[in-house]
Amino acid sequence: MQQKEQQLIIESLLFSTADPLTQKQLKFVFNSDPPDIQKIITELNNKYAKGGHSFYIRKIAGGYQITTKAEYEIWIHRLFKKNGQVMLSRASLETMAIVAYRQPISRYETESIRGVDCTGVLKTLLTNKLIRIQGRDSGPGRPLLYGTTKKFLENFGLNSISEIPKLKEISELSNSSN
Amino acid sequence: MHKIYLENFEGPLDLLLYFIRRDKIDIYDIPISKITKEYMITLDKMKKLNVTVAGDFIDMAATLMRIKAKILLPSQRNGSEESVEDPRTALVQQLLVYQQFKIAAEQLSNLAQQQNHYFPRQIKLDINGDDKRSELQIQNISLFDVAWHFKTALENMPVITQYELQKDNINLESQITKIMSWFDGDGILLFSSLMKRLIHKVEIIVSFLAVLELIQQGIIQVLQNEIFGEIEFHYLGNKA
Repeated sequence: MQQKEQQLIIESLLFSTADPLTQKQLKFVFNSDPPDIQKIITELNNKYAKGGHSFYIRKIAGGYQITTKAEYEIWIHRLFKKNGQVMLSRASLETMAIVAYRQPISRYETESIRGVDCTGVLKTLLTNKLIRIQGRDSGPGRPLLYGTTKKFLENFGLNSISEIPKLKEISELSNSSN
Repeated sequence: MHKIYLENFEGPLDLLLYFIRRDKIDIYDIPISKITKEYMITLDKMKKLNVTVAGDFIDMAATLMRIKAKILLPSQRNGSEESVEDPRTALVQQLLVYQQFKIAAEQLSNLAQQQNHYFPRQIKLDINGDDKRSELQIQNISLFDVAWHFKTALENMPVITQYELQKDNINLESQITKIMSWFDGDGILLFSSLMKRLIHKVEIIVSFLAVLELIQQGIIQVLQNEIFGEIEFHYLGNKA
């Protein structure tokens, strides 16, 4: 297969789906010897840059996704209100952060950090598929343990969980609170 | 006078951090007495506003009181040992960790804001009867997902408002007659053989009442020869 054609096939895959496209998925499309996705994405992005387009391909949640450029947001917002992103309340964001940094974590541990009941918030995050049940703790009561999902990465524009900003050191915090 | 909007606080820790920030308090040296007072005033305000004060807030009030009491009590310092733990330490630690995640939550919020600038394609794929595709779709589903959906399905099951009931033709009179007919030639009926003949719960209940009735009328006697032994009903003869 010609390289040019491979490029167009991958472009069509990106065009046809909302979910980030991964190298692993390519093996279902190309029977033998799937091309290197990263290389082709770079080529495509160069092509778009040269041609002058309102969209490009971004690396997100371990895959690639075609999205509009940030500067067209104001125009798109005149037509659409949302981009499919889940907007979270402060309570949900706090809980989301605790799960993201301390996963796998139980409801009890989450509550002891926040000092409030988290049952409802965890349920909301589960329903929105931003967290998932990863298993059970071996400790007393075998509580359920929560962790983040691929949708969490997509929602917060991360490529992998290692990209979340580092937690501020406690010593820095005490200075900032003074 | 500061006006406090209670709904802006995510919980007792958040409220305490607010006091600390507002009054520029050193988090490592919290004036417990002052902050407890402030905290209690706020709880009172909440009650006055008819806000149901969540248990978490009351729990913290108790914690603050306990710390205050510990500070007031003379510590048992033997000699010049300075290793007595500050009763505030655990609370300070909790506040610091909570603040850490409060900041992290803000950072996450910023990330979400940035992501909000980008509009991906909105097409959600349907599985086309393609085996490979459906394999792909199933890969990300864990056992817990299945359990979760099962639970949701159970919760969404239509509520049954009609029941079909079987009419039981059991009444006390007929049950007494029945039981009487089960006594053997010696006028003895074993408790175990009585139970074997009873199938439905209602039958068992009515039989129990029937036995009580028979005992009361002096028609039968109940005997148990040893502890945990077999219970026997003895026929005493017809009532007059």
